[in-house]
Amino acid sequence: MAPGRKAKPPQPSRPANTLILDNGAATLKAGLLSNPTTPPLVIPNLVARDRLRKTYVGSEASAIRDTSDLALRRPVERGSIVNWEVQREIWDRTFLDTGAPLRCDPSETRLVLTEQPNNLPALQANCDQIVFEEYGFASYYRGVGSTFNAYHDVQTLFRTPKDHPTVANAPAEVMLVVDSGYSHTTVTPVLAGRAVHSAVRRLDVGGKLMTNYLARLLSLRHFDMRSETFLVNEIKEAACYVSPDFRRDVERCWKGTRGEKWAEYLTGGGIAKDYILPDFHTRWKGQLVDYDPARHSKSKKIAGSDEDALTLRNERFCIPEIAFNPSDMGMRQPGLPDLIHQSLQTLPVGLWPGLLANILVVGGNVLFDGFIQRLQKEVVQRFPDDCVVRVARPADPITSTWQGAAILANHPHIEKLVVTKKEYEELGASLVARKFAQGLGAG
Amino acid sequence: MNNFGVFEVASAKTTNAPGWAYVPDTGHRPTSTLAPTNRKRARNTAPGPSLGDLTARQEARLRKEVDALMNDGNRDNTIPLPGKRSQGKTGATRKILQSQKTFANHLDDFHAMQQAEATAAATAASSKRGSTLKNQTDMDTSMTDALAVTKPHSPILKPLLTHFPPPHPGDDDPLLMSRVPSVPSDEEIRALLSHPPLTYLEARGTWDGNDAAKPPIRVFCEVCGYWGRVRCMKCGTRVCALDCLETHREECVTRYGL
Repeated sequence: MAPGRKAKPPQPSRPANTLILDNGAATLKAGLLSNPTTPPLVIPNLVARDRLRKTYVGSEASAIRDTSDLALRRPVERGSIVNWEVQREIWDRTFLDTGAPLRCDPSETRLVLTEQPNNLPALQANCDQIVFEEYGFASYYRGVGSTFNAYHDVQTLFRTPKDHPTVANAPAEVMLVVDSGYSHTTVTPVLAGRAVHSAVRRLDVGGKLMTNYLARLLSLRHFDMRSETFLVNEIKEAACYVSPDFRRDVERCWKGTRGEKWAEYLTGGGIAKDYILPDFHTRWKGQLVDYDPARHSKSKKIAGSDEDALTLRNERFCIPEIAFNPSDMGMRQPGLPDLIHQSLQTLPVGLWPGLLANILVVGGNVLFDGFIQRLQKEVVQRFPDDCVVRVARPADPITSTWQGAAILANHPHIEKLVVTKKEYEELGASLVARKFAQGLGAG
Repeated sequence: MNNFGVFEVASAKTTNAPGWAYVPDTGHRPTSTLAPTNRKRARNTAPGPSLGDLTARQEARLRKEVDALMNDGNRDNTIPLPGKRSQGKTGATRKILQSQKTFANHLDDFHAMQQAEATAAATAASSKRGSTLKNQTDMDTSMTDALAVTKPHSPILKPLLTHFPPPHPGDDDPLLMSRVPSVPSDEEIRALLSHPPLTYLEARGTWDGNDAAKPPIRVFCEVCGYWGRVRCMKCGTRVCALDCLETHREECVTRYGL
């Protein structure tokens, strides 16, 4: 070191901006930190090409009207950013280009980025390199998305009666975060904002798998929809629900014997719904309506009705069911309740009551009707009677992780977590990766 | 079949008589005389419970189908990006940006690296010169502690501050007592939290297919989604009844051999 230089510069002041990115497989949640927290932008994280070979990037994709035969390319694969060429294009359009909605100068911006737990080290290293060397962010923290949820006021979500207000802005002490996203579902026990890494478990069932599975079922039973991922995803979001009693619902969808159709099958049985498919001439959006046998009668078909209706019966609840029983579709993995059981088996019993009473579910799949009730019911069956099981979901489970990260970015903890560009250049990539892996650590 | 009024009762007793014998028939016996001679039937009645009733080929097909569901679309995703961006500011980022590796490629790389490390460690431990090398690496890892701040901190889980309800004479009643396991000590929690992250494969939930305590695996009709009670003789696909079996047979011919 040069003799004239000061040994240590004064603690660098906080960068002017803080950019928070929750880089999901389906959507990118992005926002700049402002004092009253504004909701983040939710941008489809993909590049799409329609039938006329026109390309749409990121937020442009939500404006596509003719979604038939849409080819998609996603930068995030199995929860981690793999294709940086595409990801940089979407990032650039979000916060770098002129006219970008969140325009900011990276050299005076702090980046808080979420990642999946148990990411591959090579992909983490790629991510750090791009952030510092390509964008040149002033400081940066890359943390496990689930842990950010601890910074919410969790007890309000569970509606716990409080005789004294909890310490404001402190991470929840004990909670179990179930993050069911587009790529996969993870179970993360979180103690005071720190993930218990030895107990993190993953189930490779996510929204993408469900959409593709629904596309396969519909292709086998109705029309070929294997190239209509976009439409099938909308059908899934509109029609699917988690059955409270799977066995009963399967029986109710029985079509009857060869000779005579079952009465409940003909009337729909309360489960069957019709999805009116868009024809991309007059109708641009599909629509879910109640099942109407008259719609499928022969006379109507001969008359040449202009609407194509897709009848959904047991597809409605069989699709989300694979999160609870992946073996139903031949996948050799335990269901979500078993996964929670496996995760807790590795922890001391003394933590079980706290974790089970504070299960927070986030991610897009949680929006299925009945998800929480079913999860609660099945988790109760797997643990001693004395354990109270509470499952709650935040008001908006998709942006919940982003909101938590926004609270963390205002919290004193963040100063311990971030790495500045200077530190990165001095310490090198591997030490930075180790610091991120350690997080708040045991300290 | 009318057996001349004789009902055979299965018993564990074996009666020896000249020329012939009653032998208790206790389920499956893979002897050469009892095994089905038909090749297809033999394949479909492979021994094993629940999921094991699939042949290796069916299982491979199933795994392939599940893997296919994790990908985007059914075509190769090569959509060129509109506009031209710079090719990366440094050599390293240029390499990252141009990389066309998929997640599966990265995962394979990671496994290969892990195995190489394991074998290197094994050879280093076995060889004599390895011991000095090992010491060096030990020193190497101990250096990283410079980052960690090791000063005493407040406990991670704060003690509860709420007011407990006033004591009641029935508190010690063994019938009313609730036993709550004690929360682990601060040292135990610190030890838990200092655990390094698991690798990608370690974190996946483990599947114990032969667990007798678990309910058996449900099978569904591939045509209509009802319970799969009947199996196609040709390919082993599950269907629910004759109605669906006929639907399935129409395409089973074309799909056979896949």
